[in-house]
Amino acid sequence: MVRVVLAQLTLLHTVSWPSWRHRPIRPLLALCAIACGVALGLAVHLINQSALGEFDKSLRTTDGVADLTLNSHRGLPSELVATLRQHPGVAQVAPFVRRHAWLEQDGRSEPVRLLGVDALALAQIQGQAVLQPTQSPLDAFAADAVFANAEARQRLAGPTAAVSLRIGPRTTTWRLAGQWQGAPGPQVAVDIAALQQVLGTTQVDTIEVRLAPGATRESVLQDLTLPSGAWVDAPTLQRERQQSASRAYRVNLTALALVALFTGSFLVFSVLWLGVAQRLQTFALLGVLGLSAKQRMQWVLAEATVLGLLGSALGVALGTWLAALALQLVGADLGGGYFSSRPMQLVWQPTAALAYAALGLAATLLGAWWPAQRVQQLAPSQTLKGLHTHVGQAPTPWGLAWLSLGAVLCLLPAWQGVPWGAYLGIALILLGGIFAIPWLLHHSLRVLARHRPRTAMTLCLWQRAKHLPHEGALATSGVVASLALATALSVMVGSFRQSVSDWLDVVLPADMYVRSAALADGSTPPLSPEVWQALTALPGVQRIHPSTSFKLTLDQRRVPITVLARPLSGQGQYPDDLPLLQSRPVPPQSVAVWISESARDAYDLTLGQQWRALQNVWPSAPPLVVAGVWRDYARQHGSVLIDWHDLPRLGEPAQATEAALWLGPQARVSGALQAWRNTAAQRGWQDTLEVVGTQDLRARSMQIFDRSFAITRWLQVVAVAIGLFGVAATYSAHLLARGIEMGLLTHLGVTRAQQCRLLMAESALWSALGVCGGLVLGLAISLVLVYGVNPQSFHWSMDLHVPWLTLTGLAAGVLGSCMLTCAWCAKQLRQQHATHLVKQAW
Amino acid sequence: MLEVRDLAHGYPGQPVFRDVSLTLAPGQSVAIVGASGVGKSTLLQCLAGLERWQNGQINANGVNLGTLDDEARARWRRQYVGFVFQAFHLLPYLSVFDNVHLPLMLLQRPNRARAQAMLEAVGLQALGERLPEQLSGGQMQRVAIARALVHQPPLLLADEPTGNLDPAHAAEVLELLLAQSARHGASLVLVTHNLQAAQQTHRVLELTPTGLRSWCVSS
Repeated sequence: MVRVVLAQLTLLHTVSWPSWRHRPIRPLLALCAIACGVALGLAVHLINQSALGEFDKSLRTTDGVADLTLNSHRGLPSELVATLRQHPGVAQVAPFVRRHAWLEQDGRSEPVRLLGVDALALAQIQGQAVLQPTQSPLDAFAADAVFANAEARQRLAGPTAAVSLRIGPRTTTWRLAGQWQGAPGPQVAVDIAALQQVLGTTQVDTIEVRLAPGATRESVLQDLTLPSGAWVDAPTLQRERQQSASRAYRVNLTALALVALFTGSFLVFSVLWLGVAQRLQTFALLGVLGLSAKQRMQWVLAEATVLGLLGSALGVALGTWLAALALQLVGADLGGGYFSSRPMQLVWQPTAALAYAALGLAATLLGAWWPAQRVQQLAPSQTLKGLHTHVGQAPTPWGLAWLSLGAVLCLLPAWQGVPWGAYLGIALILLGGIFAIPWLLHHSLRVLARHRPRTAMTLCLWQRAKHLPHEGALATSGVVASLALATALSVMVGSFRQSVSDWLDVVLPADMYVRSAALADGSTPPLSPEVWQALTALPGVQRIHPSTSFKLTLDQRRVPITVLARPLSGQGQYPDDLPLLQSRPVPPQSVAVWISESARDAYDLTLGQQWRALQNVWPSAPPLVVAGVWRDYARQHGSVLIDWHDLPRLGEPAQATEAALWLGPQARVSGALQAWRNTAAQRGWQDTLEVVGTQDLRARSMQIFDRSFAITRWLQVVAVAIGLFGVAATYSAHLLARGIEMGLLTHLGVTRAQQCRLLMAESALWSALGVCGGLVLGLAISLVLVYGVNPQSFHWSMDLHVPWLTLTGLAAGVLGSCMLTCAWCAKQLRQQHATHLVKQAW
Repeated sequence: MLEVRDLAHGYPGQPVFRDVSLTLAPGQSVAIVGASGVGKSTLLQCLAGLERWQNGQINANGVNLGTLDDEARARWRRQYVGFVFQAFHLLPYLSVFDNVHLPLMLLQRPNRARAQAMLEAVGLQALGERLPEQLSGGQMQRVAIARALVHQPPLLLADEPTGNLDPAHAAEVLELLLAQSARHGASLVLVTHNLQAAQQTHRVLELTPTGLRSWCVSS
């Protein structure tokens, strides 16, 4: 083993290194391609892991103090608090009541989050006093005391002793008694019993629990009878939900990054193939001098190993730098919206760096395999005489088998939310397609061979393609791979973009939209009656539709779904302002619920089915039956839409948090917006309400979409650039290898112009085949992406829209670039002709 | 008729040969021998119009090669010259028949019967559909001879045509080459190190740096 390594090192030092020094551009480009692939993959991985690490850290610093949280949209009975306090496995219990309220002063109202807390219990759980009275410590339990956090205090005009809070229709006055150490966003806290009295309820919204030493979550929960609609939360569950919800997105991004590595291995292949072609005589000579076939193969693989190790090391450094830069500049959100876009610290993982470096090395060795095989198989003496060819090796139909296997794998369902089958299927379709091209061409030309070519040049062109299909296919494999990937991504992104555009047309039927700005905790306060009145008074407003949305946890393992309520309109049985995919009439007396595709997949729902989990939230409501499935690109964790008029049947207050405004025929959106800005400025609503015209909203949505797919577009450019360089390298290799053939044609009286035309015609044939193959494979892969990967990963469907103009431009650009490359190669060959090539032939 | 007068060739500061003169009538054959590196193959390349020379003149069938540009020389070569190489140099992706037929196609005078007749003349009529790599060395050189003569060129240039063959096959191939060139009335210039082969031509000349001279056993 040591001797083998030493022998290879000697060859690398004495033969390879001088060759690389003589022509440094090609090995450097191969090295860069591998480095880019490794860097992209590692950067994406590190960014995602940093985001998950940041999430863990936030769990430990905020919610980590409570081991268990009980929640319910409909409220939890106060008896549950008593039961928990008596449970031997429970150390501390802190109940909360949460409401939206408005700070009222000087005729203006500011939304705040109002919390009813048990100061003593909360201090025991948090380990410190969270209410800090300025005068008497007993104020923490006083029925008229309110405590404001820093942001709420900023909203209070000057030093004040009394605070007016509007809760629903009632306004009550409280005494400002101190500070509240609450989370970001304006918050005020009062004693829980006082708030319950104001609200006229004994229920609580949330109960935070700290377990006794040795107790487990499961042991406590099994002794409790939770009311229907209640759910349990815990830091570990939050982490699981976050990981599970973002898994498909992370895998998808990693797969995209690995595409760069995959195309990089094509570049390695091209460079090594060219290197082998240039040094065929050297390999043959060393073979004659005693270097065995195996040693020759090991030599090529050793060269690849050097390139792979250097490229991987460079890639790891570059990937780390890229990840750190991205985390500082744009946070961890790479377009999916799963992670925060705040700057955060890089979490570097040596195992991940090693794994990606190993992947880089594997990709390099994969690219080196065929050149190494070629060197192993060459017959030294024949090669020295220039007689070595691959003629007679009929192409095998393995490519078709891979294609078929890939197609079958694409039909497999997702596993743990990730379409592994589809990803593997795409890889097999791509490789199968590349390997099927020589076979298809060989057999097509056998059929066409009945028609004999009329000219010598056509004869050479035709017979060469028929008998040496591997060589042309290898030359264009880079084109096929890169164009297929570029086509697939173009079609997928184009389909998605058009579908989003069509979707926006349906879901944004009004002229303007208004909504309350979300508070720091993510909740949205209802629109106040004053706001509603001001909207109605806007000039040109003809009709206003209220709507509301809130989050609901139906399954503690899943991210909460969004419940939407708005008036549904339609002439027939089904709403016509909803992008419906499926629908079915619901029985009379039941409440129709319209679910998004992700809700359907997450909760395994079918049309006409009563949704039990949702029914548990509103147990006294009429049966909640799935009436239809609609396309919702805005809420990726699932949503359910209910007619606004059905809210009372659920027992939900009809409090709008959003509104859609239709203007009269003569009114202009710009005029209405300006009128609103004036009103908002007068009333101080600029920061608490968002008003936007539909066109702006649309444009903003499409901008977000384009930003999300920016990385995909860059990958397309990288793939095509790598493919084109691969073409240049492999065509150069082929033309170099054909020096003797060209020399012979010169002897036979074939002019240089004729030889150039022959080479250009061959290049055109192969490039056209490569472009056609790339387009066909790309379209096939795009079908898998549109109908397989996207619905399985993200649970939304889309309509196939093939951007023919883009694809035509892409194909023409690639074809043109190939021809230019070939023209340049042919020119190089022509320049050598008279002196070099002819002598090779002699 | 091939006529070479006072031909000189060399590289800057490195003359190869000079004062080379030769006249060859149709149907005649000449063998050129000489030490390695003396410029035998270069002389052949000059005769084919593939290499430029410094001084002298080459007239072939009334055409002064020195006055032709590259394209015109290629066209001239296509019609008037046949080549046989030591390493055969058949196009590997063309069948035996297509390799032989190729010169006729290049001249835009496709004639399948003629190509088939040439294959018969070299004894390979049954192997026309095979690819070159399916032939033995001797068979490949027969194909090369058929290809060199199929378009009936007045000049046949052969560079060590038997160098890659064993003695038995070498003798067969040489006999065939001489017979076929004579039959087609082609002037044959044979470059070889094989004295037995050389002696089968009409004349044997030795190339030296100062020109061609008649070769005799003592030299």
